[in-house]
Amino acid sequence: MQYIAPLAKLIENFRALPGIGSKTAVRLAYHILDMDADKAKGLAQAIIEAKEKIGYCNTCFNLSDTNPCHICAAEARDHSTICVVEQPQDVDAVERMRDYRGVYHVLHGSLSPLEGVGPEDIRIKELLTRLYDADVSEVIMATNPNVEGEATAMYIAKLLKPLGIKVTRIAHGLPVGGDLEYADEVTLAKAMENRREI
Amino acid sequence: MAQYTTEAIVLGVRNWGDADKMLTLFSREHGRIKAAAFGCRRPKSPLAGGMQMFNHLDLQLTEGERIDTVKQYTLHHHFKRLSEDLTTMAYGSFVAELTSEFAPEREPQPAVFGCMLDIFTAFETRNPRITALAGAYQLLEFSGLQLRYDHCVHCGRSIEGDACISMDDGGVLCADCGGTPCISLPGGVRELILHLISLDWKDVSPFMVHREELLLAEHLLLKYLQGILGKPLKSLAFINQLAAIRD
Repeated sequence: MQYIAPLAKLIENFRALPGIGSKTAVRLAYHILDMDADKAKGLAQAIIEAKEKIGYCNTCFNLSDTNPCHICAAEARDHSTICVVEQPQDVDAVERMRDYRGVYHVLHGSLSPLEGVGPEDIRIKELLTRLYDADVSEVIMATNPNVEGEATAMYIAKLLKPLGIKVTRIAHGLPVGGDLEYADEVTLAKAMENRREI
Repeated sequence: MAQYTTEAIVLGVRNWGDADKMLTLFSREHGRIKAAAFGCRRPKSPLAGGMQMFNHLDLQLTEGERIDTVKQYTLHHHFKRLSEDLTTMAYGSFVAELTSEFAPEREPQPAVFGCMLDIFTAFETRNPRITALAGAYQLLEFSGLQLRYDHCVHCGRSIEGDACISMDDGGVLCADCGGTPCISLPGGVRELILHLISLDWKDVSPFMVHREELLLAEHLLLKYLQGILGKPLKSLAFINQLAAIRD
């Protein structure tokens, strides 16, 4: 269908976003056109502001509008424990738990041969530099429990071994609230492997 | 929508959409197929554990217009070393990527499937570098793109000892037929390659590999692959990066 030029441009820009197909893009574009001018300007301003003001924290490489970020700057947090995650969204997930008081390090990816992501392409070097400079007693590997995440965790653990820092891996197993009979074999095998004495 | 079941190995996984994965599968009955596993990145998804690289599964799929969808799975085998040792994973990915490149979509190749299972099983205990090299030479054999190493490609004479190889001509050349664009191929390397091609994965007796011969056999393979694929393999860049860090 032939759209008028500014609308076509808006649809095209929405379509470029992840998870948005052509129909959703059209719906969003028409929704924007129906909005008050102030709300539309507010949305555009919010996008520009987020792009301009948000950068990476020089310590943990999480997304932040300050440097260091509020987590790295917080004195109340335990700076001797670093939780290593793949993406900034993972920091949010761990923070939602409200039980972890340490700091983070965001790798911005995981090792993936088929995607061509090697050790030089993620923030492993920065983690090592950080560990040399700071007094860290434990590194928690909280990469995703898949092949790439597992390999990344093992690789970093191997690098950290000579430094004498305790490296731990988050447990794998059954999700809380799930029934055992519906668990898949791989998850169940991991749960058995990581069982603990009670 | 028709449903079907198949035995398959997961050759590739990439995140797709909000919580989905797009899989490249190598099926015993259907060859290479693409399938989507919806919602499988959510921790409570019953598909989460199985939709991982290198897993050997029985899958139930629904045929789609553009792409098939994974409905259920049963695990045959999870190759532990391939997911826990980075070097083994890198070489395993190389074999997986090569299979993805060579295997035509929806064309059953049960012999290649059997060979893949043997190769992945060998990765659990054997040297990953040599396993990947042997695997790659054997996959070339199945694809029909293998160079000839035992007879001169020009005159058909049986080759003993040293020879030279021309990738354009499709294999080794005897002393009489060899010309300028021919790469020298020492007898030891030729024998190593022939041994790797005919390696029986079910009964691998120990064998010695000299470093220089291994390097040359690898060099020839990679040069040939680059020529026929016309693009660099991503897993190879990863292996090189690991090697550079180790050195």
